[in-house]
Amino acid sequence: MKTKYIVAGVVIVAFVVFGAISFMQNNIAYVSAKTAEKTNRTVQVKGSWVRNMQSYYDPNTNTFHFYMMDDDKTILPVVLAGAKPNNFEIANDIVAKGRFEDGAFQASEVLTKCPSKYQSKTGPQASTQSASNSLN
Amino acid sequence: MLGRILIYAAFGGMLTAAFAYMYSFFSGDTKPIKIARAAYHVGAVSVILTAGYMMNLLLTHQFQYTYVWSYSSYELHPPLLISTFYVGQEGSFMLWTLYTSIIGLILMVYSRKHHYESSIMGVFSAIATFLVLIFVIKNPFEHVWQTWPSTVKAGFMPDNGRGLNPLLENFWIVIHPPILFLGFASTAVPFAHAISGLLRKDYRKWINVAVPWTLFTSAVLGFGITLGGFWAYETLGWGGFWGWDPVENSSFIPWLLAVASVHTLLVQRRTGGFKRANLIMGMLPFLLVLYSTFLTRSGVLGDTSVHSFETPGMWVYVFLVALIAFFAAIGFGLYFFRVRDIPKQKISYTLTSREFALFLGAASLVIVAGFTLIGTSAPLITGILEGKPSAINASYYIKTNLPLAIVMAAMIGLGQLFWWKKSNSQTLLKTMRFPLTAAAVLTAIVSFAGMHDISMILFFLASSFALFVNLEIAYKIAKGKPAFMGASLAHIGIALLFIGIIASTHYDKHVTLSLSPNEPQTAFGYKLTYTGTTQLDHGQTAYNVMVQSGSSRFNAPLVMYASQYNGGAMMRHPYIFSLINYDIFSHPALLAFIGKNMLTRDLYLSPQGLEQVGESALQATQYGISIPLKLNEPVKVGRYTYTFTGFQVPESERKAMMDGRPFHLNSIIKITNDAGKIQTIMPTDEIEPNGNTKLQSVTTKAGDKFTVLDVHVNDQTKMAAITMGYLPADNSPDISLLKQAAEQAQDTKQGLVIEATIKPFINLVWGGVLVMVIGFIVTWRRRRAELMQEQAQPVSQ
Repeated sequence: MKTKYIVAGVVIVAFVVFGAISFMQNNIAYVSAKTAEKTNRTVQVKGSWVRNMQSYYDPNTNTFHFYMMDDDKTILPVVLAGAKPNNFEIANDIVAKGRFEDGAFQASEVLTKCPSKYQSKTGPQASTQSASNSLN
Repeated sequence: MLGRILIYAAFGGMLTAAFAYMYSFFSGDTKPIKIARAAYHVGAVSVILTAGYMMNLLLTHQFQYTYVWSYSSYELHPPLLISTFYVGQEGSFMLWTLYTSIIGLILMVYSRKHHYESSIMGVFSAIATFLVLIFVIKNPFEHVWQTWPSTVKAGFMPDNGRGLNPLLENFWIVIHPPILFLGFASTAVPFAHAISGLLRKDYRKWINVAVPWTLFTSAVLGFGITLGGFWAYETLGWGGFWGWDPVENSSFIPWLLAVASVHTLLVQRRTGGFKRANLIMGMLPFLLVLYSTFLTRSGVLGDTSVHSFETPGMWVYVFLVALIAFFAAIGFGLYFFRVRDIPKQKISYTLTSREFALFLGAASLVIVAGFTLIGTSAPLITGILEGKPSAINASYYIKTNLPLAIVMAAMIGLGQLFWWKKSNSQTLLKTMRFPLTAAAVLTAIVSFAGMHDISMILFFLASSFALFVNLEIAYKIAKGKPAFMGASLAHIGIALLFIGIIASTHYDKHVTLSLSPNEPQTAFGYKLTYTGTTQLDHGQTAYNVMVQSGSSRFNAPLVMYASQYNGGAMMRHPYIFSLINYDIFSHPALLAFIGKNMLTRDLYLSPQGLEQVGESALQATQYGISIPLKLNEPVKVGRYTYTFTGFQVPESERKAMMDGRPFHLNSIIKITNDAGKIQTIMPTDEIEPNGNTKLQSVTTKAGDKFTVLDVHVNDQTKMAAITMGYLPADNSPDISLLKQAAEQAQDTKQGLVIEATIKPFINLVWGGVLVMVIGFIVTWRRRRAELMQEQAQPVSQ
């Protein structure tokens, strides 16, 4: 009977430790662009797309290149492995996950946070209403 | 006004029912039951009428109501118009409430027959009361001028609604949420039964009713989740069917717990063990549905979820926390109050007993649910620990859940071979011979074919073992009592699903192609040619890619468009050549093509973007002929050969660039004439942080004017390139080049960038889930029939 509890206890502890280690390894810390440039760990940087600086998609490497500005107003060149993310144009916040390497932030993923995507701030307006719908 | 009255009637009815039922239960007085029944009927009918009222507003386009205006429009066809009912926050709660009310009506009849109505319906009415309370707090029938008092005048009637998000405008929005929410709503039944069991100190009989309902939840929720995965794969172009996104996980966790509960309930039915565990397991799916609703609706996930839900405001947050706290407190409070009273039945079993296999299987499911729950809650956990919520990487889920999935697959096989209590090792070895040999041979073949990852080999071995065991058993049962083959069917389904997951997510191959118009490229044995565009309705454009295999070919329209609704964001829809393709109805020839090529693998074509092709093309600009120059690659145009040798950026300018101030960039260009004379020029561009570029031209002694029009650096390959404008001196013979460039400019075409992916055996994923759901339904029907029999002739258990 006692051995049963010991075995069960060991198994549970093993799972908890395994889960905790996996959690820490895969939980990616938020850092500033300046810190991201210095560390060689995988991190995530929150900021906004610098619309007016150059951005383009390179089909040869399947990478999307752009500049982002973090909350401290530091500009970070980003190379995303993949095409321009959905909703990129309208996102007011973006989060890039990756690592700084070879002079640019090599992002494996860029998440976009959209401003009240499904909600209107002003409600229906008399004049613009029909116009905006004809575009749909 | 009518809507408000109906909501208050519903709330009053449900609340009265909850109190009357509970009073009747605790006092033992049966008289209030009549009041409670009437009150519940008032409540349920009011909920149905409320939903009908909302539906009517949507169908008749009453855009003065905020909900109607926000999600629907005149342009929507009836099925989509109906689906706007549950697209928004309030509407999806209303659908949940509607299902709950209707299930309660059925439950009332059931529980009345079985004489435990007061406790079951007391709990159930309380759940319904809370759900209706949502609408008391947040009126779903708000007028637009009440929602936006500062910008909309009272009594304003909008011409049209905002319409449905185009991402949602497809068949799946009509079918996926109603099924999913039915699954969510049904978890309240086992919860109510577990609570009722605790209240009545009846720790045995409650499971008889809970078993069929838990099977129902497992089937419906499982099917609903899969439809969502198929939607993501088929329309949204996420590339896969599962992304471990919080919204996906939030329906996956209750499903895992419901399925685990099916197994532990089975042990209790057969051996009488697991009484305590089952009470907890009966409560968990419902509590987890509440918790998941909280995670995905309250905004706590912040910007860590891909699915951006609207920010609902504080009321949802507070309300959902209160809801979870209330029902968790009742459930666990009652459990701990009663725990000493619950008889413990010692079940003696060995390692080779079915009980042990069921326990291990259920435990794996619960641990997977736990790991997934912790991962999904990561933004909440890190928000508290680190002050800044951050999501966990999807790799976390794979890492933690893969070993458990292997255990699960092994148990799915072994559990069916083990006997209750103890297996005879001789018979066991005999029955294991065929499936184990078959699985080992199959695994050897696929590892020869390229599966070398040890964890995948183990997973595949366990899954194929499970498959062969259950195929053999299903075959035997089908000959005898087909009604009893539900479990083996469900397990065949899971085994197929596992194999499909291994093949399609670990051995998929993809390649990015840049297709110039009418220039074929080959990928995975298919010849792909971008043939041009077709204009579709609603300003959408299809970019046609001709896919050819052997002599047969078919056009794949890849759709890309800027969505007005989503603020002009680019929407991209893939085209998939798979066994499930509706275009076979309009193009019968496609059937043969698919039958020949897509049996074992899907071809997934996903549009990425458009780009200018023909880089060498000269163009006419106001700065003269534009000449693209790659680093250190000489280009001869007219009299001169040009070589771009690099940039010159002074340290001060570099700092300015990093600080986001305007900076100067000098491009170094070597010009060689026919005589071999070299001249180096350095045109300067001033680049402002807002992207405006001030060009500074350089004029040579000969009178030629050079300007750097565009600078292009690939950060990864370090390849730099520029586009240089060349305006020849007056009367220069190069002027003819301008004409030539102008002609070429008209020929400049847009190339299409696509990602082509081969998904091997993805059909096993869909097929597996389908077989599994059928298995659940077969078992559910059998258990329900048994329950009916028990009720028809009440046997004392």
